[in-house]
Amino acid sequence: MLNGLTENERHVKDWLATQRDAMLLLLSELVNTDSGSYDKAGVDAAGEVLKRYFTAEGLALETIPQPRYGDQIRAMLDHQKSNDRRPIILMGHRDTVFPKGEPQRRPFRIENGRGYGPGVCDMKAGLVMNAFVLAALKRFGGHPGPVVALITSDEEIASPSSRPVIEAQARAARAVFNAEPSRLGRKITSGRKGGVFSRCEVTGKAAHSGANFKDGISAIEQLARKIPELHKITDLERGTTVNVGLIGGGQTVNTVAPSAWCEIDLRYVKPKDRDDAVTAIRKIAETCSVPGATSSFTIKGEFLPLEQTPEAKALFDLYHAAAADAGFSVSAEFTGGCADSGFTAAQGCPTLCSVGPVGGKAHTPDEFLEVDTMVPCAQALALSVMRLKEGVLPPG
Amino acid sequence: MSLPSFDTKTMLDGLRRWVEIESPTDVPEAVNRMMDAVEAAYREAGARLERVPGRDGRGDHLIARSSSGNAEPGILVLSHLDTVHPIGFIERLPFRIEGDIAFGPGICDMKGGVYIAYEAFRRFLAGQKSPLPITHLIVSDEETGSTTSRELIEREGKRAKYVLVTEACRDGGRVVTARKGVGQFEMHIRGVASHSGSRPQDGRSAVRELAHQILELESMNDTKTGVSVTVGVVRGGTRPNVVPEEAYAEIDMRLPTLALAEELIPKVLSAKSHRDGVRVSVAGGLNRPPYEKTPTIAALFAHAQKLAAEIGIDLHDVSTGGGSDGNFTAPFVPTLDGLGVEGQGAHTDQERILISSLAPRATLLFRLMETLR
Repeated sequence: MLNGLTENERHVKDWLATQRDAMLLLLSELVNTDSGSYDKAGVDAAGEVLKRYFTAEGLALETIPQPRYGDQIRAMLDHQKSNDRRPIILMGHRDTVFPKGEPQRRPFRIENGRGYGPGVCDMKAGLVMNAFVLAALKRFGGHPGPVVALITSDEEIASPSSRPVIEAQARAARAVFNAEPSRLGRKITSGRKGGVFSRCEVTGKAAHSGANFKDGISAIEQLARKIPELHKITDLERGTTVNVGLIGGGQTVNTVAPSAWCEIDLRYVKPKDRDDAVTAIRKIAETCSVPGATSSFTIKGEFLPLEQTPEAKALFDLYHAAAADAGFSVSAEFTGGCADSGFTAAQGCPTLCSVGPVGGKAHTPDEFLEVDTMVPCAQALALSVMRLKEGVLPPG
Repeated sequence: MSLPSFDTKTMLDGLRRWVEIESPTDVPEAVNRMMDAVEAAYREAGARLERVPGRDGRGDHLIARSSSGNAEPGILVLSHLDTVHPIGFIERLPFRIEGDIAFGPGICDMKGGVYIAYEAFRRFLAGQKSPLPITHLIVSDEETGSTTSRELIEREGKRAKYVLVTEACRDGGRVVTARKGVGQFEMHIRGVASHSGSRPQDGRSAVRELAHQILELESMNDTKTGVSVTVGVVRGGTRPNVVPEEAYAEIDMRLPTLALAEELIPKVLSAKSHRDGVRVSVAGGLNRPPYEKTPTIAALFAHAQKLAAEIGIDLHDVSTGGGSDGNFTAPFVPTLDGLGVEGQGAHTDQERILISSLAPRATLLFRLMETLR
């Protein structure tokens, strides 16, 4: 042992320290590969960028094809001698929220120590980190069992095709590290809210606002009656919030609106709060008070909450110590933002979220990555994986 | 009384030629082709012509005057030749005749009305005597609110003693003696954006405020006074997981009287936010003033009713919520509207007229021109 690290650990840590430029090169290629959630070809092209890296590093690959969204990819590093065959999963998504053409408009660039470009921290930097950690372990070993990099394709739209894959993987896994960005001040995530994303559509009847006003049924009026009711479900103390984030409706100024719609974002903390809130939303969305108006309600997507279990706390302690050995101090905080980590935690798999390189302003053109955190974060993650031996986590 | 003869077959042929020149408001060169045809017809009839060049993406307006150099206030016949149907709509709604019905884009709203006014007016251009000078103003943009013609309509209206509007008549051949005023507004709301998951307490939802504003606007609807409010278009927000910073609405208000307009419009314009950190701003106002049935308008209608009876029409009048260019003149000149042809399905692919209404309606216009003094 040198500086408290095993020889394997030191090799892995030192090699990762030499990979800064290689990481940024791969990151640049990945950011410049357009991969909005609904662009299957683009998301798959981003997958190819990573597959080429894994293949060059001699790692086995598995592709889980998807007809509509991007394929899921598993890069696998086996460990023949381990008794615990459950893999440690390094998870990340490669889709972004941005419209097609965004990398052409805003290609990857580095300025004053910050990297910019669509998806740079959310979460292409995290994927690059995972890839290099897997490559380091392939080169130098020291991992306590199989390690899998799971690369998903549709997290930004609530993982419609990835969720079953993630859940199946999580059920068979020892632990999951999710590479969402850590926040400024070296903060990772202790817990996340659950979210239910839904849409309400209202149908009325068109009529000329002047000549035939009385024949009309205003879908906009009906929608306006629902919105304050929906907001009343919000209970900040409980952590339950409802946001009617998007609305639209109507045809022209002088036509009674035949249709209107809204999209509703529900967040909650405790799993048991979900059903009550969804029932309340559904009732408001489906009930009409304007005579003749009708409406429908659809759940479009959902994330489960991430709760800090004793195993997750132990995983955090392990990571905290590894981070110290990589030269930085880390803390954890609760966030209302949702992520795939809720799905793995709900399967009973110890999960640590937001271990990716530090970034911020995700989903905006100002999204940035603290470039100098790439290597230390990769080192902390690699050390955590290497130390995840049997008995480290309390039995679930 | 010498009733002129209006030959239905000849008028239908002439009207067909006009219907087959498509003239959507937003295609000024097409509207101008239509104006060219009318200008040529009036030139041949001997009218003094004035063509007012179009602007702001709209076509030209046309004024045809009787040759008498008389400067005294006369009769203003008010028409428009733009249609709501886009170019090519004629493929879907070709001019065709089925019994007493003729179909075609704009045939009812309002090429039929323009055509019978031309037929009546040309008799006076050919020597028939009228007590008052006659002016026919044909505008290019009524269907989008007459924004480029309003000044011209008001100027000509103020010079006139009577205004006759050739919009199609209502069900049962009714003419129009009152129209509601039209107020139009845009409401912009600005709140504070925040992430709905991580920072919901920091946000101030513009959408939530808009919902309150809509409910207040809707509460101004009053079946007793006839005030109606329509929030026709809304939009707001950027993504479902962002507390919306902005929301927007387009509002249409119908106001039967100027008194109600003066009471209610300031209320709409001064809408207040219900929450700190959220701003509400409203722009707009009275787009077309109310057209109220004043005693002088009632007298003008009574005169028309008498003339109609002479030619076998039992004429009634009606008040409507739809605006027309008559709204611009009615506040200061006795205005009679709905003097065009009988028809149905305006703005639809079933737009049509009753062929048998062409001659009597042309005769009524002729008689108004001949007798108003």
